[in-house]
Amino acid sequence: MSLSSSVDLLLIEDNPSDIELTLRALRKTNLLNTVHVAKDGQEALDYLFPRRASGGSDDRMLPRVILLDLKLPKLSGFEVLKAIKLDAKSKSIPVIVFSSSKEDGDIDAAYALGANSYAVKPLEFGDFMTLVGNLGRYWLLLNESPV
Amino acid sequence: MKKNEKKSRRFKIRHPIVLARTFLALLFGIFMVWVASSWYEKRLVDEQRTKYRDELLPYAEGLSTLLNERLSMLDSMDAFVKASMRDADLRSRFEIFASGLYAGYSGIRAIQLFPPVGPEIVFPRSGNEAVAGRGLSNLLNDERPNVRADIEKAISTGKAALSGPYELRQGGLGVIARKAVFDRGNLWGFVVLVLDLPPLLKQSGVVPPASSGLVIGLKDGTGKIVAGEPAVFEINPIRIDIDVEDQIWQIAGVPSGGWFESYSSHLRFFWGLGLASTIFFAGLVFSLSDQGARLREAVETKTTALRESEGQLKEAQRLGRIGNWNYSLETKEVRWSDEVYALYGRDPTLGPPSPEEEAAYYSPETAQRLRGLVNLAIAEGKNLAYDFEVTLRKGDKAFFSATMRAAKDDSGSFTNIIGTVQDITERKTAENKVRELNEALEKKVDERTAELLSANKELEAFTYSVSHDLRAPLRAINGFSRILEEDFGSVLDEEGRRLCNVISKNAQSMGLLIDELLSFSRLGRASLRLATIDMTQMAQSVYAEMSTSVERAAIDFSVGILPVAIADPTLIRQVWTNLLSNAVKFSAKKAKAMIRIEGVEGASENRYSVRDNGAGFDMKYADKLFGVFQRLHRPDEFEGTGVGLAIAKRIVTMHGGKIWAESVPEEGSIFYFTLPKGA
Repeated sequence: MSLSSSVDLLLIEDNPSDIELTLRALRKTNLLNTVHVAKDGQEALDYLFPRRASGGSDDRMLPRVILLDLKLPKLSGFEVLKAIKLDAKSKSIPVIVFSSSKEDGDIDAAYALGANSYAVKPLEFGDFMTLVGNLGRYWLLLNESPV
Repeated sequence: MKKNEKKSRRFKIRHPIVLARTFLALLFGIFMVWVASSWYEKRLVDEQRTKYRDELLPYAEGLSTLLNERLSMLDSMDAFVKASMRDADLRSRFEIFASGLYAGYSGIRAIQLFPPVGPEIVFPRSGNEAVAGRGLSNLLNDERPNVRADIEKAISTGKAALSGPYELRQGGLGVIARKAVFDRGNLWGFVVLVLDLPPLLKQSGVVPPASSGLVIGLKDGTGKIVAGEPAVFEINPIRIDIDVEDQIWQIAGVPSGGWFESYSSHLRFFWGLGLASTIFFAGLVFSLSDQGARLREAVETKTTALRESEGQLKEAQRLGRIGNWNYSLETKEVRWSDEVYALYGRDPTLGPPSPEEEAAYYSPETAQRLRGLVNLAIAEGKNLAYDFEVTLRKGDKAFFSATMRAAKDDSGSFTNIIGTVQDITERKTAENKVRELNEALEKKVDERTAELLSANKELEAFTYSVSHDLRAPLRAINGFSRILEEDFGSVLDEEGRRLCNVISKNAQSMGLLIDELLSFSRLGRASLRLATIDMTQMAQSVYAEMSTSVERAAIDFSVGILPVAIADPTLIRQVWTNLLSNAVKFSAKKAKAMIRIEGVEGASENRYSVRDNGAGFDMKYADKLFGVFQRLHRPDEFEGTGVGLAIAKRIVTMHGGKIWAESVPEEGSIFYFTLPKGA
């Protein structure tokens, strides 16, 4: 676990219901330590690359895992993904694409841009809870993040 | 064909002009032969006359010599008498002299001397008894007037006078020559010589003729015929006059066979030759004339045929709007066929355009190209085909398609450029129109394609929206109703919890609807990835996958041996899934559920069927069965979205197959689908 990480998980999601459901699932799994929510693509990039927004120094705190929705206002999830994976520092952060889309095109495009995982949001509440809980357990507890 | 030729040949021989010419030639020939033979005959006669005159002349001269030789004896006798008239023995001496003469010459009948007194002296005595015993007075007073005239003539001229020839008194034909003897100017007496003519005539070969080729006649000085053949004088004889003392005799001769006979062989040969020549000439005329007539006829036939074919060529050129031209490399002369003039709209009497005039017809580029083609045709000796544009007199443009070729003479050097010109303006215009239409069409297709592409893009965007955005609220509805139930379940009563459950269930089924709708719409964009499918195995595996063990225990399921299919495995699996899930679903309520899968191999397509003994449906709704969201059962009877069969139909149709169903309500249904064998 990196000591420099102040945030464990960055949730990039515009839909408030989905935010609430996701957070509920994480909470139920006891994983709601340090979660930051960005409500559109631009906000996510501003959070990840604060220098661009404020001109400050580069000692930013990067999250350990990013949960990324694709359909976002302003900048789309793909654009955010591309920006993350193009940046030398942020490109090693595991990005889990978490979308309603089951389209092959979306899945292929996400992996092509460097996504580390792709999970479809289940419609049924129980399935949703289980999936988010599993994702959180795996990526935050089981998976070793890069140093 | 052969028969006609023979017929016309016979006809030609009888051609009146040919016959008339031949006849005229024959007449002319005969006339010429006649003229020539007349001339030739005259020449032959002259020739013969010269010949026979030459033959006759020696005889005439011979006779003349014989006679005159003897008559000249009178002068000798006269001289002898003059010298001896005073001698007493004159008589005996004269007899001796006479006997000498008589012995020396033939043909002498008598030598006589009439002295002034006494009887005459006759030598020889024998044979001349009839005239002996007379004296001078008797002589001078002869009773025959012609004799008396001859005696007076002899006295008056002092020369020998000839009498006869006539029949002598002592017998035989003879002539008598008398000469008066004068003594100092007074009549003294007479010397007389009597010649026997026949021996002399014979000796000279006059009568009978010594030549067998001649017939001869003799006239004396009075014109009396005295010897030979009197008829000779009637047939244009050769006449030769001979002087006999004071008379002129005439000897006449003709060829023994007559004049005609003498040259007839020549003339006959000439006639034969002439006639043969005439016939040959007439034959020649006939042959030439006939040949000429035949030639003329042949030329006429050929000319007619030529005109006909020329006419046809002209007509063909007019119909095809194609003309031909010829350019002589030697004379630089260009010749156009009538149709070329028609194509160029040019007056044929003007002839082809001069190089200056050509500028009106061709653009500079075209003119240069055409010159280049002529050079190419000469250089390469190949057939060239080319198109070019012409400006007609009215300013219209015409398109011509042309060919060109350099023609060689026997020695192999190029002499002419020959070529054709065809008006393809209409075709060109049509082609242009077609091209324009095609271009317009292509443009339209491009536009439509672009429209379609953009529409497709919009649809994709829409689909994407649906898949993404419609699900989020459903998830919320479902999630929050469950949270309500979970977190506030103790606050809600039974009815409240039931309602939460209804909300959650409906949200789920709407999620299902969206998923199926998406997969249906996705089918339209999918392309087929064909592979060989073991349909028996696939049907079994699908059945195992989509049914629970409880269902499998309740259902009597069997799969026959199905023909293999060449199709997209993913899509066909979907078909099986949809059909089998329906069968399971609709037969689940039966006590003894049964599902049968069978297959029939056909000639061009294979047919598969899924039969169940489930609820079935009313056949009057059969056409609605495969429509999207068409359901034949109420949700409380059977679950379902009404998209499954629509998807199955779409997949089968995409493969070129058909799908249909037969059913009896409450007894079951059979679903059939076919797949082409080569799909």
